[in-house]
Amino acid sequence: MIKPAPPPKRGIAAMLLLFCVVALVAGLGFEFLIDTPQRFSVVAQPGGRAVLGVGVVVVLVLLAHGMRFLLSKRDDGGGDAGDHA
Amino acid sequence: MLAITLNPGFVCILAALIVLAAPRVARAPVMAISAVVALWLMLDRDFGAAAAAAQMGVPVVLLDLDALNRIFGIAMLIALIIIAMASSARRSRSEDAAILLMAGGAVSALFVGDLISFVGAAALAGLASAWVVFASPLANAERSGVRLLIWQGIEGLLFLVGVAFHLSAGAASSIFTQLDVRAIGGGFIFAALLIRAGAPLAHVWLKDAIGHASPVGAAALSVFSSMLGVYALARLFPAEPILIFIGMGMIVVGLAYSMAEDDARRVAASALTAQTGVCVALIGLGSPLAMAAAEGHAFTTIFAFTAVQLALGTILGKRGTAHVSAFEGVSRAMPLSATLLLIAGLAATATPLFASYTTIAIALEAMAQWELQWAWALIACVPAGLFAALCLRLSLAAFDGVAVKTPIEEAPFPMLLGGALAVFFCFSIGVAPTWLYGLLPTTLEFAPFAIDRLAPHLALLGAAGVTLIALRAFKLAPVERAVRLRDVDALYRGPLAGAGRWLGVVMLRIYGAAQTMAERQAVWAGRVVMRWVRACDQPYRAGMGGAVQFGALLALAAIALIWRFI
Repeated sequence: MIKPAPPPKRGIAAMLLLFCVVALVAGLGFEFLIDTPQRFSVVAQPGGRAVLGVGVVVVLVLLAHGMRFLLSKRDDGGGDAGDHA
Repeated sequence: MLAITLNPGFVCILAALIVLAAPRVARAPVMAISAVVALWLMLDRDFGAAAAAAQMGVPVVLLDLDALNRIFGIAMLIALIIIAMASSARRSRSEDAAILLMAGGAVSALFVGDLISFVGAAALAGLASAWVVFASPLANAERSGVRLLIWQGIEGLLFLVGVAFHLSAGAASSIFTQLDVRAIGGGFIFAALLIRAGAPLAHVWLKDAIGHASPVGAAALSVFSSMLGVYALARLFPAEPILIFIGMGMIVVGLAYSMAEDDARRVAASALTAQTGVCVALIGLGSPLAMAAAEGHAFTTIFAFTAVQLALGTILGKRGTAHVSAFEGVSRAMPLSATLLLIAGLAATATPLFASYTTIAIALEAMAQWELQWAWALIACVPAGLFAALCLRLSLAAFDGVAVKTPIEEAPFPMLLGGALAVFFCFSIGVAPTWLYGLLPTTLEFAPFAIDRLAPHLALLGAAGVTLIALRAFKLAPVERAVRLRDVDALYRGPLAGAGRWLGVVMLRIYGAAQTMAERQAVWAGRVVMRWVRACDQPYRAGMGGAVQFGALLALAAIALIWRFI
């Protein structure tokens, strides 16, 4: 008897990853394949937007770590009443 | 045919009064019908001002329709219909009335043609937004409502001072036209509008209010509060260069907090601040294409964030919390809501085939025309940052833990229907954006799906998504845990509130000491007077009594003589 496989734990992560990879590959592919006019910015060059996407997320993740380290306050379940205590 | 010159917003204000007395089954239809009637009043008129009346010599123009206020009016009134649908899911007479009053105030402010009427209508919308928060059943909503009321009070004060200074130049200056931020009146009005739009340092009121409002109230606040500020900035301060920097500041603040916050509704509010920042920066640029992009982007942002807030509201309504750290198992218990959240997230982050992509593409084109490289790059960051922080982060958390057996407890149907309708609008405009372009004040021939625009955008979103998923897989992204972050409000809710309390205690002590001293002085003075009275009653007694009597008689005689000679 074949034991049924356990239900997935990370339901949508694989699908979202697939969506993102397809978007990245298709976007980069078309960017490099098509003959586009000269763009004004370094980021606007072929592949520049993908680099920008990576950079933005890395910076935001670092910022989130920093903000949680510096700006987090104790959550005692009392909502914002504690702010006025 | 009878020409109706009624401001469309007045219909919603009248409906708010009706809703206060209407039974539950009639309230949502009244809200929706008022929005439809207001839409009809707006679309049935030609552009131009209605008859103006004069009050104390100042012209009052209650209706002045043009392409700029029409596009905001269409978005707000359609959003009101969506919110009316969602509102039938719960029973709250006061919140229904507050939402209608806020919508009525905001829509009235869009269509008036003079500054005084605008300030009145905007103040009404502001007060009603505080009422929306007060009507929320969530914990600490009253405190949040008071804070919002203080913000609205400051804004109203700035408006009044600004208009007073502006009118000192003459009654004709009351007409709604471009103002100068360097003039003292214009400066005050500009400051008031920055508060309304949620500019940096004043951005906290929006996420504080949205974080404490009810599920439907949060959607209403997203539509009728900061977007009115965007409209007024476009009307009164177009091409004001400082707005570019303010908009950039809003983008940075919004993106940073949307990735770090735990409360998903505050995440969405921060994301709204970032998208509003795009509109504000474009208004600061001020070219016809930039203005068209700003107005179009405000239009699409209204629908996208209505959908996001309603999707989050479904989770809040059923689970009692909308914190990302508590999202595990949401997709199992509420599959439709989780799917709605994913699609609404895609709509809010300018994914192709959704409306906000078609307007962010114009925004990038407008920035590129002026070769503002840093501003262009920062606006290009918005879809990537929000795709990671709002769409992926929330969806990954909601679809996490699907193996846990949980009975399905889906949100009420009207909430889901409202969210789905907002998403449908985003999708339909995103697929066929030509009719939106036709509504814009500037004639626009734009191809957002041209491959040289679409391909880089896909690469941007794809790279952002892959990076976030990889960082999560390697446990480098922040772990979702219950966390509350300080913001600028920590200043006035912490040290300033403490200083206020300390000052209050000191003042009370000073008052108490002064009162005690006054009491002692009164007792002493009473004793002195009584002693003198007793002395007067006993003139035969030796001592001070006789001298006092003699002195009093001399004083009376002196007064009588002086009186006689005068």
